[in-house]
Amino acid sequence: MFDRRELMRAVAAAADAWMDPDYDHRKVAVEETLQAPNTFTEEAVTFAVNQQMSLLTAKALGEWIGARSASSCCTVGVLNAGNIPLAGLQDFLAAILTGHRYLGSVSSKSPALLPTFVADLCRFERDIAANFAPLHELLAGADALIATGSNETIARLRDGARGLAADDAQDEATGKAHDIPMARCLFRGHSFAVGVLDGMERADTYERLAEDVLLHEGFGCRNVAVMWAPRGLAPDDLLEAMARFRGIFPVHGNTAGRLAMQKALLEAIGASHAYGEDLEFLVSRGEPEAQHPGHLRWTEYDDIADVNAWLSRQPVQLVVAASQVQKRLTFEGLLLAPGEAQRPTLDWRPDGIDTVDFLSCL
Amino acid sequence: MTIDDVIRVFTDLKASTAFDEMIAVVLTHQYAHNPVYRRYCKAIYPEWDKSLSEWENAGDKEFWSGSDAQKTTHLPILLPVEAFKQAPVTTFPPEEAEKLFESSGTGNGVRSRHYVRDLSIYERAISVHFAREFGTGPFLFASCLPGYAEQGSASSLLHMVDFLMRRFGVEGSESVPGAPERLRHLSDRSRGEGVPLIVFGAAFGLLDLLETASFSLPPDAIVVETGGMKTHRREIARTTLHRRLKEGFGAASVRSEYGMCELLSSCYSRQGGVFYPPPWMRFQVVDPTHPFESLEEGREGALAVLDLANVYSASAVLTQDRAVQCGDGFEVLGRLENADLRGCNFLLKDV
Repeated sequence: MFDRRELMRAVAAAADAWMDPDYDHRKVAVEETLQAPNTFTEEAVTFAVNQQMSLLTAKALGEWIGARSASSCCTVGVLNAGNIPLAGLQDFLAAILTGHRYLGSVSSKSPALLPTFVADLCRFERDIAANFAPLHELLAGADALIATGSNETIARLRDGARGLAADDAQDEATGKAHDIPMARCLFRGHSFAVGVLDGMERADTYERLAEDVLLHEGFGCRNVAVMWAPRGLAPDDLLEAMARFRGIFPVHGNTAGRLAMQKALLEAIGASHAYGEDLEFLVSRGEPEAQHPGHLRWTEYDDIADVNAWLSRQPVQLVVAASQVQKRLTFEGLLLAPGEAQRPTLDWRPDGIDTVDFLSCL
Repeated sequence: MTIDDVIRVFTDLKASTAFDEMIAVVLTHQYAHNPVYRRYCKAIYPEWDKSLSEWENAGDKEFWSGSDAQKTTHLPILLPVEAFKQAPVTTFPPEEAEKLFESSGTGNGVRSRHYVRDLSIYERAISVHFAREFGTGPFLFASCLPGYAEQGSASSLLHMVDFLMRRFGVEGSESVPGAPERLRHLSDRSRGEGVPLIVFGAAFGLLDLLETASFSLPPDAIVVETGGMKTHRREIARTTLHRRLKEGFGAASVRSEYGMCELLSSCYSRQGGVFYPPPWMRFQVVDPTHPFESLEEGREGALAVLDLANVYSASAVLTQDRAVQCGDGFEVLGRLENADLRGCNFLLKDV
């Protein structure tokens, strides 16, 4: 029987150690992460680690988990995406704090941060049941699954999930990816974040919005990809804020190369666009469509009802807007103040689903 | 060689050197007459004019793959397929188009538009390749393309199937969505008359048919699924789709067609999910964010194509399809949406 209170204390102690940028395990993990094939910058990794670790106090962990606990322990497989530094930390904590065994995959994009933190945590609390394994071993060994992916990826995983549909159940011997029942799978589709302006925003609001748009180079489902603005509002204030943000969080070396093709296409079709010095960001006017990472789409509206109607049809993870704008939105998902998109809280519910609830019901 | 020479003979193409010569002529023509392509080339590579003139003198790296082997000496600038959504991609005034094809718009709703100057080029490309892959028939055709009918004449898929039915079909070939009894009738007729049956169908149109009944098609029947995996239900994996089609259609063989309104050539799978292009089309799998970097066989990336049939629009196109090269063919793994690039997706290559 695991002692959850002891475990929470261990997590908090490990997080406290990790708050120090010079802590050896953190330093080694960060250095290894920055050498991996990803788009992380040192500043963005530092931001993510500090932000996530600052949340992990014993009190906050206790309030997040509450009395929720699994009635029987199982092995929870988690396919970690790796597009964002420390992505998957919440799933790991939810799994072990609800009393399950954790079996994670290691993303080649972010091979060190989460595994090193987990290994370090085991120094504080030896009885933690957590391991990492290659994908095929993970799928073979897990009793439950948490996975995030594209439509096709999720389709393949769903088709490998027993009990999806009557006709699927007839094909037991046809080489399925895994044999985990559908009810024990939590699949998260792809999504993006949206910003909504009303023209009354002040300079400091734009500063925060710049972080929502540019941190992590446009990757991740919490990144603001589409900015709605009332017709006629000039984007200058946001552009200036984005340029200032780049002074604090320098662009990744690959971003300009990625955006060059996007910029060329905008020029080819004669679309209105703006970009930062050395192509450190790109903004274009047009239809409300998520563009490539690092490319913000600026879309104008005449009536907020049009924004509400669009939001209801899109895979939107969250919306950032000032409080006076939030009151006019009918979006039923997560509404945040500008500057909160890249700062997920412990109790954040991706796709509106509570991971702890899912795990405690297994 | 002139652009008119290319138009006249590209479907007779046999030698890879001829392809190299033709694509150089076509891209030079498009650079001169297609403002969208020219602006794109200039924006992404200001030295492109010079590069074009040096085309034939470039190195001998093998960049492009195709069914008849091949060596193309240059990596041309690929126009992202999204351009077809944003502007007329033509070498001629769009109002002079003989035909306008539009995408089905099942994704985010914004449709691609392909202005076709000369429909006979398209019809020649699809019929010559069809004959290479399936023979000249005659065949008994059944089409099952629900949803596309709403697009009417703007659907390139509908036009292709209608044209192939007229070109290679016997009288009585017909559309059968939601009419299992009609497919049964065609199946019986195929057996009775010894005319091979070809069923062209969108993925979910075919699955809808199988929900109402199962069929025992003749052993020489061919089911050609044309994609459309997410028209009105959840996404389905192609391997699962093929498994269900094989189970539901009896002895018939199942093949796939790869095409889109932005490309006037199409590809067919022969066995498994590997597509093979016609001789006048080449492909390459590239890094989607750095398309000047080709990826070696087996690695996932974005599918890039050179299609001579697109002579009046853009022949060098970077698609939004995730693909992997398999020998002389390619396998399509899914879409490469911007939202996917942003999101927390991972590649499931081990599953």
